Amino acid sequence: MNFSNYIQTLIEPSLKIRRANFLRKLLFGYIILSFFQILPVIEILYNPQQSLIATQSLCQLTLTTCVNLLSADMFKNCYLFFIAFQLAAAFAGLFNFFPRIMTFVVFFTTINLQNRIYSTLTGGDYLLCLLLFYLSFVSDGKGSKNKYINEITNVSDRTFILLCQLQVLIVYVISAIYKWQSIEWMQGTALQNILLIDEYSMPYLQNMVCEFSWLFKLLTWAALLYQTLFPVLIFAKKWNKYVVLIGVIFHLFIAIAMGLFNFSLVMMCCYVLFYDVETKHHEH
Amino acid sequence: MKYFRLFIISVFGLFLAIHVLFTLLYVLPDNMVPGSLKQKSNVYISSLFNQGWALFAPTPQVNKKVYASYLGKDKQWSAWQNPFKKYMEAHQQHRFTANQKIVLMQSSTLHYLWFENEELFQEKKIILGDTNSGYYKVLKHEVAQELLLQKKNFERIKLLVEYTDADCGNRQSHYIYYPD
Repeated sequence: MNFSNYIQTLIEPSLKIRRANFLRKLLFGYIILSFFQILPVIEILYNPQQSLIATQSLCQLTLTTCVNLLSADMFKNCYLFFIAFQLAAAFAGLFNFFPRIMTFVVFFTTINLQNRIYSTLTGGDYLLCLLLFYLSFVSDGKGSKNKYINEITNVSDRTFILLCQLQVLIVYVISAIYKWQSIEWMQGTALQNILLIDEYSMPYLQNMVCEFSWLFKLLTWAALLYQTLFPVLIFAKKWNKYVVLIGVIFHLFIAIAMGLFNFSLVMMCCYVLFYDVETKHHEH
Repeated sequence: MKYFRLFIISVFGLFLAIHVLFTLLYVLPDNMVPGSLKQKSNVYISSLFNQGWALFAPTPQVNKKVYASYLGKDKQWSAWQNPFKKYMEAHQQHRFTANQKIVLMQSSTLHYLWFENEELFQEKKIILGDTNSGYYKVLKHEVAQELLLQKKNFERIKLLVEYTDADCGNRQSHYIYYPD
């Protein structure tokens, strides 16, 4: 492929646009689900008079304040508006109503709501915000009549879909680097250590980890191997579906055994970006 | 048209490269990135793109609990109790509930208090906590609000934080006592 052909390819519509839009809808679905999850404790999380989570008083107009509006005196009581806007935009986005604008509204309300309950956040919450931000720049793939706008949109779609994929790869690569530097992961005691912590375990699992320590040693190394190989094997057509399948099982374990349900759900949604459906479709 | 395309691709490509570079500088372990570069990436990433992917490396080493005793209107100190016990039990029984958030909130505050006092724990098993510590104030807020939710009328609170080794064999405990 010569240079001008390569340029031509980059300005054409991305083949992954359907996957990105499917991910967008999954994330909107997740947002709606999360609302029902926190509904019973909404007051003790967000109501300034009852909240368990201490807050500060921001007043200067900075980017930090813009994403921490619920810590600004003026907006502290407005959490219900943020939730209402977040849900309305998520529902509208689910029905393809101005998807980019709706995604940005969901991102903006979500990051503000999350930052108010900063001490409850998991990696899944951070990843959700990042993906929503990137997807705010990905079109619905319908195209425009104006050739220039069309080309800019196509390049933007390609850039931000790639950013979504790179972000997920960063999660795996960086997490693997930290683990390779950790003595507990090298010795194989990491999973045992984690499952002995009350908040990441269940009583019967805590008895099990001490009885079958060899099993949890194997699982620790399996998890480390999976995280290390994910960025390579996910792009190998032969391995793709197996990597996704193992990933789903891996995250179901994290959700149920370790109780990090929301983190696992977001991670599993991300597999949409990598699962090679289109290739399989063309093959048939 | 050719130059227009080149321009558009260059602008987006440059943004992509810079963004990924700053993200990597921000999330890579401290021993792999010079401090000055880490600080620069912090300015760009921390507000809008905040993230961290150490994910249980290193693994947590201790189980954490907080006990509270409060001075009621009757001028009697109550027995020590763990005000967040119900959330932990509910979280261990039902995974898809918001109890997870309360449990993680508690865990996170107590985790930072552990790090704040880690050096002192090497010398003593029971230490007197610093009531000027920011993390202590956050913890006290959590406990006070929870006691209010439980409709406990109190004038003062004292706290005892317990850290127990998460180990199959020998489990030792360390304590921080925060007087009212």
